[in-house]
Amino acid sequence: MNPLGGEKSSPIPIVIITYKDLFLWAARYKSVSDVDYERRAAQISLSADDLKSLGIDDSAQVRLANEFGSIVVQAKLDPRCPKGFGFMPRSRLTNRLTNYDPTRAKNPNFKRIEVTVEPVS
Amino acid sequence: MPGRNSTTRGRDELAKRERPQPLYLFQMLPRTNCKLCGCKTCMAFAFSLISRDKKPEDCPPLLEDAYKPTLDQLKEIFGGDVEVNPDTGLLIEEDKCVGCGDCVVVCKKAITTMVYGGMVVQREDKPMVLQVVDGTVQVVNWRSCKRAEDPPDYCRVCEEKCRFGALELVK
Amino acid sequence: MIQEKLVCTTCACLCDDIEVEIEENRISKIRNACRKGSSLIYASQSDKRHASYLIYGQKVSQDEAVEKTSRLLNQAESPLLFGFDNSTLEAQSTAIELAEALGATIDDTSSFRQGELVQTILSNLNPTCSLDEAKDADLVIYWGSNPYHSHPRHLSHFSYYTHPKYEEAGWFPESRLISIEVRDTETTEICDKSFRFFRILPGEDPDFIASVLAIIEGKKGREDAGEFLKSIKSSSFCVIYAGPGLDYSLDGEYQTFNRMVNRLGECTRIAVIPMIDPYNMRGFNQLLFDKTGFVNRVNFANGASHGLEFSFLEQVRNNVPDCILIAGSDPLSSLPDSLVKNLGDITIITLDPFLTATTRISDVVLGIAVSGLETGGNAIRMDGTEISLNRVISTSIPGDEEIIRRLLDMVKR
Ligand code: SF4
Ligand code: SF4
Ligand code: SF4
Ligand code: SF4
Repeated sequence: MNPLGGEKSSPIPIVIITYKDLFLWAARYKSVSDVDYERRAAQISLSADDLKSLGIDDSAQVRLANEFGSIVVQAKLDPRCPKGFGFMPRSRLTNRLTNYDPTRAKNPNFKRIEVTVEPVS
Repeated sequence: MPGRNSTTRGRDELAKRERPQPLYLFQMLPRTNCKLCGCKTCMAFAFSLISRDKKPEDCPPLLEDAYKPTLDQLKEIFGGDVEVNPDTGLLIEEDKCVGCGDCVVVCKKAITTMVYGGMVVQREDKPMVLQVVDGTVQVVNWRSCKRAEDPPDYCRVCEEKCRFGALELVK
Repeated sequence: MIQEKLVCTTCACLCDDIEVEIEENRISKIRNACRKGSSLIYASQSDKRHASYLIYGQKVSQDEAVEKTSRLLNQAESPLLFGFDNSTLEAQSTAIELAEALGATIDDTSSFRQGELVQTILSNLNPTCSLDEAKDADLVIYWGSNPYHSHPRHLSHFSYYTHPKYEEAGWFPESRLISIEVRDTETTEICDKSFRFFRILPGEDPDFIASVLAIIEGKKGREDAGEFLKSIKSSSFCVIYAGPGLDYSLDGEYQTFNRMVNRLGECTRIAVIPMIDPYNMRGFNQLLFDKTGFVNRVNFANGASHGLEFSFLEQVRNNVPDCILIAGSDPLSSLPDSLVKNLGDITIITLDPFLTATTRISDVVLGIAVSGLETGGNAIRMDGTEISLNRVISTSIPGDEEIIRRLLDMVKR
């Protein structure tokens, strides 16, 4: 809780849903540089509300973290993304945050990754 | 480089949803009609940009410092290594194409059928205009394109159906 | 230069109209294959491709590697065989024999992706049809799947653009397509125009299905579910392409989905086809199902037993196996790091045409030919149709079938 209001925001919880990106997939096989792979992989689409509560603009860097790991990616505005969710292409990066917990689901949580997100200054 | 990426995205959206509009481009230009580019007016230059006959750098005033942001923005829209097929005006951006073949099949239908008096008429079979080669689309028989007919039929089916904004008809 | 027909083995569409030009035993041009298919075909002849045999990272001969592998498998108390979704039917059935001979556990990627759905289809709990029949469908539904990124040619080759009735001057009505998705995709863009895009919240699929069922039974339900039902009722043949999005949302529990499909089948002809990714996952599922009644997660220690404890995920989480043979799969780059870190303590043998994250941590690596390109054989497409593959490149590298057969002979001895 910040008395000055919105200046410095605290991490907020979101749930990441990963999806398959063909360009990323093809990059694994085509001799493209790792830089290109990382650039395509390191992004998350967030809702306008969440960007606002984070006090950041489109294209800012954010840190996604949970008990399994943390990654830094670029936040992108998706006007139709529901609040509290984020969409990310599935990649080596998202593997650092996913988990398999049979008490919660039979499958790994590729489409239900709980993380906190905070701006990187 | 966050800045660069955000403009790239702007460009994706532009390419995907609508073609660059001449009026929109015109408003970005110096609007002095100085003719240095070889066009009679800035509006004419805007059209030449769309048909890829001119490049943003061809307008000398745009090279001045004050117009740097405008020039960069125009380069984002018209930059990249793209080649326009001179016969059909078809511009293919390989980087965006996934080779889904949607344009290939819709074009095949477009060239072999026509609407005549509200009826769909089958025309003679022709070799297909487009084909996916090495994973991205290419023009393989431009002579079959409706735009190569005499008089030309300004068909846009392939462009409309591409979901990736990889095709643009510049004429 | 020779021209050859090729079946693309990059996804379970198994497109059979690929034309390649071959010069000096190398592919120089690929026609009709999408970006996904082409990039894999070209990768198979890149310099990065390895085709060697490694033991603890040291190059060895094929015989040494095969012998070492058979020794490791024979010594193992609780061996696990995993993968085979990118192998031919012939290789898969040899692998199942090997599992039997070893009394091992065998599982594939369907264990965490759509296995349950395939099980319901093979057990006739869900109506299905072939992709060729599906071309006549006047309503196509993609549920939790964006084919443009997973199966790029699906719409142009099999579904949306192939209906015989819609050949009208290149014009296709949008209303034939429904998409149920959590986010905007290239597929939903088509449906959006005709209000046939049902955008649901992540994880909401069970709720949506329950609502459809409730409305069928005359009760109240979600508005979008009502619209969805109306579209289906007004169609004469509807095909649901069920993707991984639906699978994860249901967490493999398809009972209510099946109930919904069967109730819908009372008002129209309906079929379900799984959007399977690996080219022959369905083949593996079919073979194991024919033998044991289950599509995956089988243990052959005492006859054939099946259970969640035999899934690759559970085996690795609980550190059960002491030796894992992985064929044509790269769990290290596709599964959670927090799980695959356990693989570090287990003896790993990998059969793969490519160097992957998993081959890098493997004790023994057996470089194999790319199936469908460098070896022939048969495979089963996502819809259950058997397709025979066409070998176009000759190579001295053995395929996985040959290696597994050698292992089988040595293990039996
Ligand atoms: S050079 Fe530039 S300012 Fe001058 S007419 Fe051409 S477009 Fe307009
Ligand atoms: S240009 Fe567009 S429609 Fe044509 S193959 Fe490429 S992505 Fe598909
Ligand atoms: S403009 Fe029409 S005829 Fe020409 S390539 Fe495109 S779809 Fe085919
Ligand atoms: S859709 Fe699948 S099978 Fe067909 S060409 Fe593309 S990757 Fe290959």
